[in-house]
Amino acid sequence: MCGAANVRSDTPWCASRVRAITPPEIVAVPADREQLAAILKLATAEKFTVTPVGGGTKRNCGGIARRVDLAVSTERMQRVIDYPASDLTITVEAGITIRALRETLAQHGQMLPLDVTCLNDATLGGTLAANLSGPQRLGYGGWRDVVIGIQFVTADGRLAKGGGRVVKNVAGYDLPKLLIGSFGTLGIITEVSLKVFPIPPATGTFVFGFSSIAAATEVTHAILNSPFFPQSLELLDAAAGALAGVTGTCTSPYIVFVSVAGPQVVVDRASNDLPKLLRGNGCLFSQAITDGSQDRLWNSLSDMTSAYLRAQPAGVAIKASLPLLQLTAFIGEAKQLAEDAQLSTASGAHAGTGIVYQYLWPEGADRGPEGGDRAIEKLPRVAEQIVSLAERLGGRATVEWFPLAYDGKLNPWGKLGDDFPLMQRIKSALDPHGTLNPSRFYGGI
Amino acid sequence: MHRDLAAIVGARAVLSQPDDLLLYEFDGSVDRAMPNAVALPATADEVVGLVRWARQNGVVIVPRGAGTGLSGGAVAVHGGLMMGFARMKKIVAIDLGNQRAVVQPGVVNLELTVAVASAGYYYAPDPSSQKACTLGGNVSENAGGPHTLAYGVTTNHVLGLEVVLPDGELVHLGGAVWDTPGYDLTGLFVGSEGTLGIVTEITVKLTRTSEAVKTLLAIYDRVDDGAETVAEITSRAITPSALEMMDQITLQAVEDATNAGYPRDAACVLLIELEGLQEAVESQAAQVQEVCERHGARSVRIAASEAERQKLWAGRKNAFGALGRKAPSFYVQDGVIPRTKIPETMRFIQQVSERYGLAIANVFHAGDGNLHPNILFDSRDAEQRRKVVEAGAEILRFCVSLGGSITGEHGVGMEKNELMPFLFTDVDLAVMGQIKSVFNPDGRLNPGKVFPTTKGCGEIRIPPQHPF
Repeated sequence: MCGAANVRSDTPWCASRVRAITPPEIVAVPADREQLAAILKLATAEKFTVTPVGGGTKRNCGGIARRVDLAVSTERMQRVIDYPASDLTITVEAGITIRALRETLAQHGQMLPLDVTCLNDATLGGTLAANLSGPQRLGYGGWRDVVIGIQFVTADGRLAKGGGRVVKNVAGYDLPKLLIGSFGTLGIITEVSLKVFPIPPATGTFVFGFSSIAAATEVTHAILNSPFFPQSLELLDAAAGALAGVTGTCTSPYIVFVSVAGPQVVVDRASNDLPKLLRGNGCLFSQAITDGSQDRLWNSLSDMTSAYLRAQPAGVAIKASLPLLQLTAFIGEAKQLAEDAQLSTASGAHAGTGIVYQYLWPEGADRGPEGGDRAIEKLPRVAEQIVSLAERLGGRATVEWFPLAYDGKLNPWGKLGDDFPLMQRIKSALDPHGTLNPSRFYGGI
Repeated sequence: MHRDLAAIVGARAVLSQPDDLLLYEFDGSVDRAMPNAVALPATADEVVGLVRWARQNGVVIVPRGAGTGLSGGAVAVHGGLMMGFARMKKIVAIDLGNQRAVVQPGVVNLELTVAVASAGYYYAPDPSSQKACTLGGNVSENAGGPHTLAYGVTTNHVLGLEVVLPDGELVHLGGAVWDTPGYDLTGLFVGSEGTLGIVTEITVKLTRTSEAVKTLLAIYDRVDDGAETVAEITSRAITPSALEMMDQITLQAVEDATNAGYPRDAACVLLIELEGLQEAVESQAAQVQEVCERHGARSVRIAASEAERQKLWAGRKNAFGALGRKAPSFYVQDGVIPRTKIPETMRFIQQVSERYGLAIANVFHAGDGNLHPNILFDSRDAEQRRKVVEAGAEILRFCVSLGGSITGEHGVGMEKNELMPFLFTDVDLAVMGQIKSVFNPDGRLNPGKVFPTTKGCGEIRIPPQHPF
């Protein structure tokens, strides 16, 4: 279907990329969506299970599949299909890496404002399917706000699409919304149309340090209620700052990073006015960065989760989404839960959207061969407590990243909502044989 | 049957006399059909009661907000029970600290903004009908408006929904926060035109009001010049919060109706709004002015006062009503094109107008390429009625040929459902049909909408509805 050379028997390749107890031994590399469709038709007929693979960066992300028979790689599907730059839209194949997409756009002074973790290797399709977003979501929205069309192949090998290539469109059901964050369980994304944005003429980054979480959130709320509409508003504790490698900039217990963009006059005014919001708020540190070094800083902040996972392979990352006014309570209480159990923890919050990454990992004596068992016993319990904490505070959370070692010991999903049966029914309708990414998704879908 | 419904919602909340039903025969589109009865529930429990009753009796349900929709979404094309939300109009909660509000579906769009304006917030999607249209209807249609250019349409502002499914089950989609776990059913539901379930409560995001706003009126002697200005503003990365175009027929109608201060003799005007920090607005206004002048604007006026600005917007937002002065009826299209293709599309629309001998008034969201050609006609003339539908389809086909869409914000409804194959393949429609079946398996909820009835996909044959 895709040529003998493009079907590889490669157990190590699959094992290092596919999140499954029994990973596949074979990977097929279709050249286009027609070939992919033929593969999925065969898979459905033969009743084997399939997992899509982009950059292979999500091996520790999401639920764990039991057995996958075949991997399909989108590595040959990286073309730019249509880039009418003046219209501020682009259509590309899903296998393009986020980095390559950014480079293409930068040639026209444009950008995709979704700064995601693992951006060197991660593909557009995989990042969309995992619905990962970063700091600039505050200013520009997430995938659900910038994707205008998606083509995909259904589990039984039909070529389908939703949306289109124009920025405003309400014709038909919004299938792109359904596929974003669906983890490859409803269809394999092959082509994506996006809104893109002009790179702002000027950007300024402002760093503030605080001694307490309450002082820090007071300032993030003041900034959100100021005339500035920041692109990004991040709040890290010192431990998260260390994971992201940004403590060279500021060593305070809590650090707030703000970016403001627009015409130069806007950055100038932010330089003047933002520090005024800090008065009486126990600010320990204040710095404005307006030169090129801010890009490196924001890349480090965006890549925090993957830096953490490299440093703490036995750790987990909880993604919590909270009402803005509950950030203080969540970050404080999550830290307490971890400390009570003698686990290490760090908080990195997108303080303008309420999304918090809470990292949790075994420390000192709990690492290594014997301690590892102890960690496996207690870490999942604390992670689940932190998920419940988010729910108690009016938010929702899942354990988004965790190693295979916690399989069966951790409920990553929190309390299932009353909409869960509908989700199961949608999965059954679009993938009746459970061909695609079995048990990789919310609640074991 | 009347008694059954009255037992659920109270006798005063059931209408079944022909005189009463006449008011529910139409929405803002050209289609008409009579429901067999109208019930006005006051609570989600009453909605559940009505839905269960309808299920037991095999009755079709059509939900309806204020009936301002422009694609027949709230027209009971198969009759049945119409469910109106005029009594579910409470703002349930306003939570400014968390930038959220919870509302019932019958709350009028503008009322939410009015409720939070003094605190420096507003609800961003602003359809022209915002003084009348309801948030429940906005959710169903994924409504837009002039300022969606910068702030997005309804779906970008809805976080959670409480909905009643056609089997009477009440479920909660999304929530009060972003990225609730699982499939984005809120995103799927918004814009599903009442075919997946009935909304009983909505959680929306509130937006901070900008520090400064400036409104410019650029006046042109040639439509091409205005259209080219739009293309250049987009490609030069200037980002207005609204960028609207009105042509001469519209301008004259608007001036006759509201005296908003538009020139009657111009070929077209652009209404351009900039929002943000004072400094950003000043600097962008200068850029916009330069682009307009370079493309031959006769003059560029900046609204000098808030009163002048409000007058310009009142003219724009009442433009559809004002067109009533030009012809007994008009048929508004909602095609979308890539925004740099406006010049050639405006020329094409002019050709269609000449070919069919029907005047077409254009008033639209130029900044995102969302056209609203209004074909003027007399609905009493059968020949004109036929020509109008043909001319409209021809314009939409042209939009699609440029890579566009048949609807940007008005919805497909029963007006464009047969045109869906312009955009979507049989497989695309079949997949949407599979999803519809998950929610609405027997098609009793808002039948005859969105999907082509002739293709056998998604649309299920509805048995005739007996009077009750």
